[in-house]
Amino acid sequence: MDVYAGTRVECGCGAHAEVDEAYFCATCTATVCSLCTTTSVESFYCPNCLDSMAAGDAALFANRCSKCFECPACSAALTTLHIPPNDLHHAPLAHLALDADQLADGIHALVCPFCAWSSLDLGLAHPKPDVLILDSVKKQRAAADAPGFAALVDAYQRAARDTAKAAERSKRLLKRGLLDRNASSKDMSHLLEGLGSGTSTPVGGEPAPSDTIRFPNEASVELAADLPIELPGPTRLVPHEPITVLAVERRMQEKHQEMGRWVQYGEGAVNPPLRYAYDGLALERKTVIKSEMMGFSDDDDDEEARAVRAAERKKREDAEDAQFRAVVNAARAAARPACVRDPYAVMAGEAGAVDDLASLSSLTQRHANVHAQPRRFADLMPLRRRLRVRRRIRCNGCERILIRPDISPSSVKFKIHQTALEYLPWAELAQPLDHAGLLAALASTPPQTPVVVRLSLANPLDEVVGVRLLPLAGDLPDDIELSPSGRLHDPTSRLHSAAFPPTLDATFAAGGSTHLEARVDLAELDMFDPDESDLRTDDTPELIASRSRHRATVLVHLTPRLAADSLAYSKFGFRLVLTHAGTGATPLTHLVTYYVHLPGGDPSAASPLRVAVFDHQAM
Amino acid sequence: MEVVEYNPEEWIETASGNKVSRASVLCGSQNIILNGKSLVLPGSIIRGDLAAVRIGRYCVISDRVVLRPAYKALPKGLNYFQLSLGDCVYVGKDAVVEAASIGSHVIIGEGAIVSKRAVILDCCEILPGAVVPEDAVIPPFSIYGGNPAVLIGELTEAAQRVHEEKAFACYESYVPAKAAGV
Repeated sequence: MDVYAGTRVECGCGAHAEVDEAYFCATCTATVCSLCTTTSVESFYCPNCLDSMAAGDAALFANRCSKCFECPACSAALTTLHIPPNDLHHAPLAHLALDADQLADGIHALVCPFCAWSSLDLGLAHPKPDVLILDSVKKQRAAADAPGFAALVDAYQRAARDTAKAAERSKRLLKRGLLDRNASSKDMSHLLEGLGSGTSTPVGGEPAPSDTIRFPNEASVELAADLPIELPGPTRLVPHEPITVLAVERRMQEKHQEMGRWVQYGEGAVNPPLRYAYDGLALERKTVIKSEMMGFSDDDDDEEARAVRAAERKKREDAEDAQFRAVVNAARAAARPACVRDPYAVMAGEAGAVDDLASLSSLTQRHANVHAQPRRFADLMPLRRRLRVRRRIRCNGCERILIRPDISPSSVKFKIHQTALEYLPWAELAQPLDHAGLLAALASTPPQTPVVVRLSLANPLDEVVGVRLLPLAGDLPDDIELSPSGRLHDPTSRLHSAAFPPTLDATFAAGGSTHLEARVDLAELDMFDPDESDLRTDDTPELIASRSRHRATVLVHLTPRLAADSLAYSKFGFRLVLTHAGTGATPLTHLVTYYVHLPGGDPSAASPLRVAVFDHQAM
Repeated sequence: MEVVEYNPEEWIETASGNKVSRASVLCGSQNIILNGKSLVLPGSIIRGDLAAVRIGRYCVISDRVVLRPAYKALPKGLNYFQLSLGDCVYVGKDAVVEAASIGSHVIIGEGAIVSKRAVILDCCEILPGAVVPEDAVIPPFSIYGGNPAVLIGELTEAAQRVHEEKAFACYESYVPAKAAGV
């Protein structure tokens, strides 16, 4: 069934794209791969009700449909089911806040037709289906943490604005010469800000307690624990106070003074803060090493004393390392949340809180509802259906629109539709053939006698096209001139072509000149009888084997460039000059270079047929 | 595409080019409408006795496929809906289709199940083994797969041409034994 399998088109960027994934730009007169295009949204629509939605409405509803829901358990579309009054005694009505009068006409509920999930368990049911949808939306919003998330986003946006304003103000002060000391400490300010103490505005607008530090996220705390520098002291920097150059410098002065006291009066005199432990140990080690070096010359020859000193130093260093590791591990442990510190305990607690594990929701179900992420299956809320988009595709080179779909979501028509399949003539081997089969055919023919294979050409255009098949080797005939922008394909210019040069020469009888009938529409196909041949009287039998509608089978004469036994693979190429009337006053002529590559090796493992369309140049 | 030879005595070829295997089961044939150039392969069952079944042109109903009109349970009883397939629809082996409507240029993979009253629009692909839920609507250029079937990917803009060529090639590959190799 894979008609186009293994067929690729070479883009101007050098990449190879599947032929059904490539486009044709008429302005650039070249095939374009998807990487060389720009995609933009043409319209939004709901895949369930197929209603189009304006971009503003889509943003308002968070890219979800306003009236369609999907099952939170299996993602299938939910249907509104009417439960008549006679069947209400089967329904779980304990969660419903409806009186007897409202139940008189039955109720509507959201039901999944696939997994039988029902909104009745959530208390989502109402006699009127419209009210049911409104209640579902309200309940989903109430269950979600969306307001808190929105407040968080607002707070960070406000903080970003304040930071930008502060930066702008600093620039102005620098220009006026009032903040010249800021330049040297700018990097440190950013570092401390990244560690979490530099937010100028507290999240949520409330000031934090003075003895705690509020980190933007856990990653910052992890970062702080991993870095071999001090953690910002809770009492030193006031949380959410804007970090200034003066504050940082004052902080560093205090640290140096404290370290100086500690070294001066001994380890037991002043208990250094834990956060200074590493710096203090480093300083002490530096002092000891310095004293050892100073006294080293006195007993240079005493090996026993040197060994004792080395053992003492190693013991001291081990103790220091252990102390340092304890400090860092303590900081890391304090920074990690409970689920990271002991995930098994959390899981055990979670599992013990429910009757069975089947009542827990899966990760997919939790991630489908990003805001709420309910852990229990019974807490899953119906989700509004995600919108889909129709895309407009432009060429990167000339900004020309290549694809513009119809506005109707259910339509498959396009206002602009320029795919490579719509423009490039289609070429494929008309008979099953692989490298081994071709070698066998070569072996059965006399030396220097070409092997004839059948190649099928198809016309993608709805007009008759003139075709001229030319061998790959040699220059173009004199009556064909390249346009200024046109160029002949160089087989050695591409990686694949250079690695696999053609091993066979292809020639065509009667100069390779013929034509292809126009492509017929599906409605006109009944006019053609597949049993009758469409060969014309002017067709050369040495060139045209058969015709069927817009297809023609041509005979290709292949001659090996090397001895047939030494061919590791089979590859031949040819050029096709295509002439058609087009929509302008003058006919259009295109030159396309084709390669047919039959890889060697195991035929079952290798691709059975590869037709590569490498170039497309205007003339 | 590889040529498949069939015994003409085991097949029925209509005036509009339909090729129906005698080993297939067509219930209520007066309600089954084949628009032409379609293939109905051996073992397939088309339940025209329940409701009308319309099949477009260049459709392929593969081996052991079941086409059954969908129904809806009403207080008065079961109400069956017409099942319609567009042009160039390929239904893979062992698939069960109870859809309300299947558009043109659709490929349904082997062993897939299209449940009751599902609507598959044009240019879609249902992957093998997928189960399309009841009342599901599959928009154009969609690739659905899984159980239940969910959106897996999107087809390219050239899908219509590709599916069309596949359908043509598949129909032309079925030739009577006497004409094979000609």
